[in-house]
Amino acid sequence: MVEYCKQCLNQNLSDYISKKKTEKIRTKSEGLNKKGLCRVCEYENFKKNNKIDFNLRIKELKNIIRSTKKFNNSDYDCIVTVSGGKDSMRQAFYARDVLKLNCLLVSSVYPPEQQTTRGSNNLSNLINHGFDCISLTLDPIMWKEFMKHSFFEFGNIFRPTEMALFAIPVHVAISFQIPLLFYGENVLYTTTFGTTKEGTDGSAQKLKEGNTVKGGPKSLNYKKASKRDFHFYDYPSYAKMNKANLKLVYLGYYIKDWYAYKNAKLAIEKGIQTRNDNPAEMGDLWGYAALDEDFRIVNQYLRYLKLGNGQVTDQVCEAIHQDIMTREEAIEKVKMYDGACDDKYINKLCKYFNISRNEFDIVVDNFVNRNLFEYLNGKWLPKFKPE
Amino acid sequence: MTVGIINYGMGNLGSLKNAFDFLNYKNEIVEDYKKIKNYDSLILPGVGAFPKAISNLKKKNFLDEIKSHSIIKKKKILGICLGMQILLSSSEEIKFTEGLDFISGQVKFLDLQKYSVPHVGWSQLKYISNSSLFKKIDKREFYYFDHSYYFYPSPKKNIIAEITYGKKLAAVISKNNIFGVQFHPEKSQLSGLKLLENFIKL
Repeated sequence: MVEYCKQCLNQNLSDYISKKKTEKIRTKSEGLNKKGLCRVCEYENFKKNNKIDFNLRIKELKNIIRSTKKFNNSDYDCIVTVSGGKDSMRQAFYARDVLKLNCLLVSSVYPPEQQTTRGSNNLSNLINHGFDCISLTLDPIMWKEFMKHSFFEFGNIFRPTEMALFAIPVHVAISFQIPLLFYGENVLYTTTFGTTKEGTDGSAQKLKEGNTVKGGPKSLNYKKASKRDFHFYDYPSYAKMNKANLKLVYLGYYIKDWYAYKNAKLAIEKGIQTRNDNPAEMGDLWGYAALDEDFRIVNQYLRYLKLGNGQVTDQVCEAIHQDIMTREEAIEKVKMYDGACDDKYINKLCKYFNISRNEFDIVVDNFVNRNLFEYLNGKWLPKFKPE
Repeated sequence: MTVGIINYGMGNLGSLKNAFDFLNYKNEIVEDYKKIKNYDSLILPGVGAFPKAISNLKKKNFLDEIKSHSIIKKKKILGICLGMQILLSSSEEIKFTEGLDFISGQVKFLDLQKYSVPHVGWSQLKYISNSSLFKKIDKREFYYFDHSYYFYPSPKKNIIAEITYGKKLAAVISKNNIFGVQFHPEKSQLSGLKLLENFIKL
């Protein structure tokens, strides 16, 4: 029996996940405390009881910002990493309007074949609010090669993509001599598990050691790539970062109401376009995630089959923490929609990779967690259910 | 075994308490000097100015008890940030003030032209000598600093790790049962927490 947190729907999966085939294990399989609560709930309850002094955090953030001034050789105070989606909207506006910083936005844009029109519109929408933005798009041929390789090798389409999304802004920061770089949230605190009840700090300094990007492009085991092919996937060395006195900061740590739902609400008010797809097709309740391309939906499906939880689990847990959903409603939503992925997205990915559906299914069969799923009537079905 | 976190009115102790709670070590915020003798491990935190810290410690009668704990009974003490500086002989912050002198050395102003002062943010350490404090901790870890005054021993003595920020600064010092860190382990992710655990286990 998979154990669930008594307050939200995070699972205790320590007995179910073998450490060989998945990369995200440690973040999701942490045990529950004596009261049956997960780490995220411990953190959220702590926060709700006003035990975290957010004024002190803001003071800390301002000190960090001030300390970067002398190393700045640019007219911009900071770089904000953006896609045009909800979190980047929140960050960009927070940095400019609340922290009063001159921001240079940096966006890694998907190759045209992958980028949705909605994604392009959203980035335009953000820039139209009065921002300078550097957009960088990497060689689409190698981009696709790496994704395909990652899919076959790790059952995760996005490892190389995430490496590039994280590394590109760091390259830009060093080149433009802007020593302050903001990322959104540290998922360790907000969706998976924290360290102490309040979390320890807002440092993104070690982002490159994160679960799916650890080891950098070398860890992809893709032998045919040149150094140039990997340049923007490869995080600059710590020596280079230290020399530039670069500070990488998770803004989410300093903002009390940093929630995907809240960020989306603000972003919608500022003109963001969301998805109208059916939750039963995209495994997503609200349609405000993965706006700029469709393969994340497939990747969430793969994650679900490996770990037993998908995007809907993340969303309902966050909704419970914000008191906008009861646990009973959450159970229903997870049963109905978690791990959903319509054939149209899978077929689109197969077409993009130029592989057959059968080849796709073989990879799925190879990575599915057989402790958690069983094959019945032509489908992988969960052996567990939330309760 | 309970950890005592000395409260002498210099800074917020909540994060430290949470860190020890997380590590599952019994801990108490110590308000009364008479209780110092109950602890095997003491934490001397501190945010603020050196002279005020010393005067507060005196006012609350902590000084003698801390000396008795650390020097006579040779029990463990860890100074954090300003707490580390207080373990030293003296500081020139605001006015010359004598410290506890558990480790000899002077705290000086971080007088840098090209660098921002205070030094705020995350830095990697350069390790000078081995210490069990860093047992099973990745050498590439970053630690959170926030200070305008610094200490650097000459000759290099009692120093475990340093950083370079315009000049060389002591990041970790130790002498027998006395330990000091210029950074905030309670604000340095899992590696900082691990360091606190290592200190307790010493």
